[in-house]
Amino acid sequence: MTTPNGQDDGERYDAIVIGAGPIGAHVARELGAQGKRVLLLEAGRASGVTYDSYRSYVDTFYTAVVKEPNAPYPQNASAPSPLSTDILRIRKGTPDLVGYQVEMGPQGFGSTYLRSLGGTSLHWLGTAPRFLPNDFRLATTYGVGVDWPLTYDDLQEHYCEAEWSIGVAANKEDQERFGAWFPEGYDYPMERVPMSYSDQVIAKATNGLTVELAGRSYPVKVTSLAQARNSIPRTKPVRVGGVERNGYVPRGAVGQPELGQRCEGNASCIPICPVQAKYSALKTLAEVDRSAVTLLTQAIATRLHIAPNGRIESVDYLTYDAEGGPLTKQTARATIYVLAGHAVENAKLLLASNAANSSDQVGRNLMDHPFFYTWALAPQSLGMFRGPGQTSGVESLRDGDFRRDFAAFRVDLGNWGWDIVNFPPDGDVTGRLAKNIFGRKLRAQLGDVLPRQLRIGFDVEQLPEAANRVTISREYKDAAGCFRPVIHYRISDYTWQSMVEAIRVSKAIYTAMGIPEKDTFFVPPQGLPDERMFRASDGKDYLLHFIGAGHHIGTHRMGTSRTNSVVDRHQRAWDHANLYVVGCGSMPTTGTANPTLTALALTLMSTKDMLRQLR
Amino acid sequence: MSSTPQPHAESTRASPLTAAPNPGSPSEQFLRLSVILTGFDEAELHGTGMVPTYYALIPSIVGDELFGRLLSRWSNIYVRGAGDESMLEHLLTSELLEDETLGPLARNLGALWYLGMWNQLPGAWRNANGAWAGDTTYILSPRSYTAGLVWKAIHSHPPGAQQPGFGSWAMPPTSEPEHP
Repeated sequence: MTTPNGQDDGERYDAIVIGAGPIGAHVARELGAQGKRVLLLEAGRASGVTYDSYRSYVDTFYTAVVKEPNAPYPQNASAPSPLSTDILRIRKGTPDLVGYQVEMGPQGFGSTYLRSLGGTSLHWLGTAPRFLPNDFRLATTYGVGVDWPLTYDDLQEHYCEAEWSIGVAANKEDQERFGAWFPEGYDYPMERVPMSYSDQVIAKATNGLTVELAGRSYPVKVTSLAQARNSIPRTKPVRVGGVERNGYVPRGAVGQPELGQRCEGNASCIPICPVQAKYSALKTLAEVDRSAVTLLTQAIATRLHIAPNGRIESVDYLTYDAEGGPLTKQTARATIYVLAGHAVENAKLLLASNAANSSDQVGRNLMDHPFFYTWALAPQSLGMFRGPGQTSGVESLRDGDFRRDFAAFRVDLGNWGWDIVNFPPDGDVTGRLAKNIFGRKLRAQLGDVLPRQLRIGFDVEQLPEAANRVTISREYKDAAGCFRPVIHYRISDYTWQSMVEAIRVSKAIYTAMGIPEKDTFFVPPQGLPDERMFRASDGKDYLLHFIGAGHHIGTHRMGTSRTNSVVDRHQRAWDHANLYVVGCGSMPTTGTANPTLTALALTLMSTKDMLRQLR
Repeated sequence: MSSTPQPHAESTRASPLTAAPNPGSPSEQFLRLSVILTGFDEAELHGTGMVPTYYALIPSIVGDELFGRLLSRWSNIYVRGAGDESMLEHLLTSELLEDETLGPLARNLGALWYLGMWNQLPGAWRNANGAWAGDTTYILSPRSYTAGLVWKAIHSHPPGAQQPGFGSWAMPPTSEPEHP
């Protein structure tokens, strides 16, 4: 299936899919399964398709001093990826040029993605909740943001298909909230992943706890998280997308299927699951019909060519051998073209091609779930640093009337201590040694303190704003001569105010757990590039901070007309009948759910439209 | 870069009132120093498989002379401490950890055992003792990362290795009994 170094034989394909991450892999699989001839282009390397090459990623992770999300995956000068460590405090008028992205500010966009075979699914956490019905009609329900051109009910069948395709572990009854429903006879393919000990402690302590948001009371309810991580499979027959399935068989590691049949508690999901119990697109790529689909890696799509009739007629791409080495330009043709290269890269390619942009919305409405966090030291051991990064959350604050005034959020209960707060345990060890604490005292202190570290995070909703955008400029190019993304990003008060509410929610949880106030923390002592003094609706000033959640949304949004959006509900470009732009970039609003599952549901729906075109 | 460092002689002032313990060979001295720095016993340290690697590391980075002085200073302390643990800890702090040259090396040895990582020595140290080419912050190897003692200390396992199995995270934490 893999043709390294991109030897395209010049034939015409039914479809060219650009990007071999989870979304592109699904498009290739679905089209290939119907006998369509597909060329799948991936800018990055093919590492990871064999288990041994995947293990090289694991060893790279072990020896990485900074274990950031892309740490296991070697940087590639020909197809660079952003790193979380690239983000600096941006001074007015001086962009941050440290990494691949050009950060114009005022806030840094700290989310990362990965350009390599399998895409960002290699380093994602695997969190896979659905959006809520009101997330699709924010403007109608709350008078903010925009509505989607489709509803929760429209996506129902495709959600079910997506959950079975990537293998989501959850219990239906945990996920039924705010009108989210499941079809009769449907269930997730695997039972929910067991809730961590700390989840259980928090759930018990917060039983019956409520918080007030914009004058109304909401329960703080800890529930198990839907996650694409192998758990105990359901074996009874289930109807999925109108098809009867005879139970679920977990898929282990690609090339080593006896590994990863269950999550084994490696506690390194971000940035890598050593046994592949967590879903990655490598699993979907392994299911692609090799007789129908040609995969070219090290092939960077650079430009779409538009025929006078408005159809896309060809795509140029560059191939390379050594990273940063010489490039060869090639061209390929197909009946339909599918951009599945991630929200930022899709926007870049459209802008570089002057394509699909009669609405002037390409690259605009860039969103994320700015991730605000607080932390505390519990009086007793919570058994931290065990299990997946997150096994439960508070999902009961994801919708409500307060969304007229400020953003909703999904609360993430971390299982890895103060992880992103101060990256334990390195500083805990060296800091004590610097104070001449050593030996049995050192061992005892670490054993006492670290298991008590609690960190609560908030994936905060963001509204679409035209000025938050990805652009390109001739000034900023990478080693392959391709445009670097130029990012303008500003968080609005709608989102900042929620971080103030998040402090109140945190305090309520910490108080319920009996944690003394002196052991609760809300402001990173070392400061963060993205922080700001914010005057909240109570008239008080709060120093707020966030980091990127890795949830790039909105750069080629879908809508009801060619004037307000880039693509229609099938993710087909309004301007080009044979072009689809798919993935999280199509989503008009962020909701509070990690977006991959929804992008996948949208895309499975789109593949049916593609097949209608190719009939 | 020799892998068998020879400690330089420092005057050994054993207490005349107690029988001086034998300071042992350099590798034995190294192991005893590692035990007192880490709070893990010799069997636990041997169990990591990292003893020979770490023994060879410091001289490979800062040379035999400095490593020899480190072991020699420690042997001196060890002999004078004569098995009295609180005395040993006191002497280790005042005569080794607080020494401008040897203290940073000893702290780095502790961090090496806990994290599998060499930390670049402080700027003042490098000004005084040289900017050694190998003195950069890095994790030695996949093995050194997974052998980090910190994970045992916090009753867990190195992320990405030695996985405890499905559902283990749902069980109450076990804290190991206090080390005897």
